[in-house]
Amino acid sequence: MELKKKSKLNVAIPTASLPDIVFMLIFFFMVSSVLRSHEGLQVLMPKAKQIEKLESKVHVTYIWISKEGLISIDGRLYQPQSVRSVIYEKRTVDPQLIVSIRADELVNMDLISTIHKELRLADALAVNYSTRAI
Amino acid sequence: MALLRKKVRIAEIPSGSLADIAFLLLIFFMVATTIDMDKGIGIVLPSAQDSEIEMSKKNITNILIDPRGTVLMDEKEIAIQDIRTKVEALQFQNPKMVFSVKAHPLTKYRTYIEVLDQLKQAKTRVISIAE
Repeated sequence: MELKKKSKLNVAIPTASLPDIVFMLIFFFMVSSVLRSHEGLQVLMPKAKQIEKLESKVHVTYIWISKEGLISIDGRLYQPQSVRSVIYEKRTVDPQLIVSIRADELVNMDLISTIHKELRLADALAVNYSTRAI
Repeated sequence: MALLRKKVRIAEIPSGSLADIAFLLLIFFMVATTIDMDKGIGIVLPSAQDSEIEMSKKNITNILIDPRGTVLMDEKEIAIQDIRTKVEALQFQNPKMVFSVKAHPLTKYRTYIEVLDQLKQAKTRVISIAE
């Protein structure tokens, strides 16, 4: 009886293109990660323990308040009473808007209260006070 | 005369480990990029159209902050770091308790955040910001 010759199968997953795949991954992450450069004022934010993360970065607008009382949104200075119209416009475009207040720890509360009032009138009610971790 | 047999040389750069190198790069960049997370204390402001809600006085605790950073809770002075335990006790007695924070216009924002932080640490359900 003739013995059947065992066929030797050369089984190998082609790995030649694996580097290409990984490089594509690198490029994808490099392109899709948003490096947000903070355009704002020089502030030293207050410290807090019980802090929560902002869920999305896409829906966040920052209001910078320096200890001199300057207010900056998107790199431009505004008067307290014009915050309303700026935020209202943003709020119309993006109803899920979260306003992050990045205020210096030495700012007086009257300015913060004014901003609160403006935000309420602009119907932007979700607010986050930016803090540093202890 | 014997013919010299031409040697076929196979010169190849080993590319098997290239994938590993690329992965190392990927992991290095993933670790090295600092994603600066935005962290803070979240609150929801009342809407401007909201009319004032009537509440019985026994369900409200007033927290007043004066310009020097002194905190009054129900007309009694309290150290900021003690607010948490006090608030937890009050909440245990009355789960419907609402804490109303009122700051003097000259109060520093830092003190206000410290008080809010204490309230948040005590897992306060409702914080009202009086103006």
